[in-house]
Amino acid sequence: MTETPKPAPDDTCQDCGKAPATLRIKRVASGEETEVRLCVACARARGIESPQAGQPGADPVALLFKNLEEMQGGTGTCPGCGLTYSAFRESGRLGCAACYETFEKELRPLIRRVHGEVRHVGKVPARDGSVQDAAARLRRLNEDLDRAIRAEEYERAAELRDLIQTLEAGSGVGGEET
Amino acid sequence: MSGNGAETAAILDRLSRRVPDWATETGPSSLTVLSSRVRLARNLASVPFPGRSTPEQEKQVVARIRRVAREAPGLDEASFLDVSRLEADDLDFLVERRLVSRDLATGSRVRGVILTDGESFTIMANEEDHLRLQSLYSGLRLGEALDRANEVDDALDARLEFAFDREFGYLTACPTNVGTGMRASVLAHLPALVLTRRAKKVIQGVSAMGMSVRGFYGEGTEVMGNFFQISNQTSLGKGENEIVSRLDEVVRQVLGYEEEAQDTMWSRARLQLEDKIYRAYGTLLCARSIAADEVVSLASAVRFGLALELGGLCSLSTLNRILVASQPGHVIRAAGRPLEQDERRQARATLIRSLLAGSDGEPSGNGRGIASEDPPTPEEED
Repeated sequence: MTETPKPAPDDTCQDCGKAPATLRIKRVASGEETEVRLCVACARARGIESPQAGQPGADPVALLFKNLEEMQGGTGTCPGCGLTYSAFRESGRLGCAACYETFEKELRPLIRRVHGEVRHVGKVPARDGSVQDAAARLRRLNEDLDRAIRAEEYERAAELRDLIQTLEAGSGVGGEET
Repeated sequence: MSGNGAETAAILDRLSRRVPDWATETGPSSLTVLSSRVRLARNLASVPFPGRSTPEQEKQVVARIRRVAREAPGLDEASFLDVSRLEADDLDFLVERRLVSRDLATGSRVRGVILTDGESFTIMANEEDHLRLQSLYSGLRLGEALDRANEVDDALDARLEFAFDREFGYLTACPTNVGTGMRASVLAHLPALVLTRRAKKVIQGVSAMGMSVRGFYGEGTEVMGNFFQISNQTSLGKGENEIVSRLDEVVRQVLGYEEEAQDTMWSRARLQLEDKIYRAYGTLLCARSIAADEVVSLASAVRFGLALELGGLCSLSTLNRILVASQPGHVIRAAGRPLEQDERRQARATLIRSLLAGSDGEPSGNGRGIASEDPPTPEEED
């Protein structure tokens, strides 16, 4: 995504200049910032799927079951400790570090409700790189952003984008507190 | 650091003979802020959290934490208490002392606590999380408490692999602690806000600023003696320093409101105020039988008197000593045997009288004096 944004109003698609831009993706690569504003059709033309795209084609029965499972509070058992999601709902306590991965989909909205955020900002264990190493952290976040876009996790992509902006706006490279 | 019976008894005896640093030292604003605390929750990446680990794993975790903690700065001489083996009265004593949480005391896991001599640093092993680091200082000293917690955390981090996720941060058993794993809190004494019925409004304001207000012993406990625990509500999305400086800011604001309320009371109801304070002091001086709750509320009145710089009262350090030593578990520990309620009240009254006799004639504050017309000068510290 290296195109220069066309001078279009903020709420219209920058490719067709007509349809409303329902997708806004801000990316930072090698210190350069690009914002892309697209409508669903143009996004698809670029190979980016919008959250709604693809759903009509999916099996409605399978979709219904998926929603039911989500409503019931997730499925599966944590391979790390054997905890089920319903057991977590009862106790409010997770069983091990792997639970966060196993139940990520269910935990994410819960964590957001509790903390108002889902991204840790702050101290990092030494093995995960120095907290001062903001440039490396930004690089990792941009990689995460790429992955999120590829996986069509647009909500997550938007969060990552916001975090990247926050970190960059803070001070110089990182803006992250030390 | 040993956990056998004789050593445990010796450690408990030593503790009961002295007063923790957070109560005797007089840190900045210590008339209104009893203590500042920073707690960090950490888990080992390779072992299920305490709620899901086997007794064998629990044992190994405690042993590992003990081994590694010795290497941390200032913890080479620290003591270890095997909490799993303690009697109920001793557990009460430790909870009152704020060395262990109620959860750790009542749990059934293999668990323990590492504590330094002045009790300013503790590590609970196998509470809800594998490690709960606690740094506890007298007065409003959140920054220092955080620095000390970080210092020990860094040393442990170099030797243990903590459960950490790039996105969610430090992983904890309860998702409410995830991220920094940090809870920073102060115990603030706000009698004038309570008496002028402004406390509720201030608490609402504090909550709106993202902080929690709780009782004396933290989550789920009552407000006693006009002491409020103010802490950060969320642990994820902001860095440790930012959380701590925001909390510090909010606390200073609250202290400002308390001072205003004190001034108002002093100018409008000085006689009633002095009467209430000196009667409270008189009761502490003369009572022959007294309940723990009553001590807390009388001590609050005397503390208020010290904040107003009234003369003829005991020192702040003696008052804090009374606050700590008159708790039920402490009274029983001092007696060396189980006591019935009546005996306990009697023993408590005797203990308070002897503490006050020991501090007789100690000057309070800057000797502002009863006759002074100046408004109380707030104790401002960096």
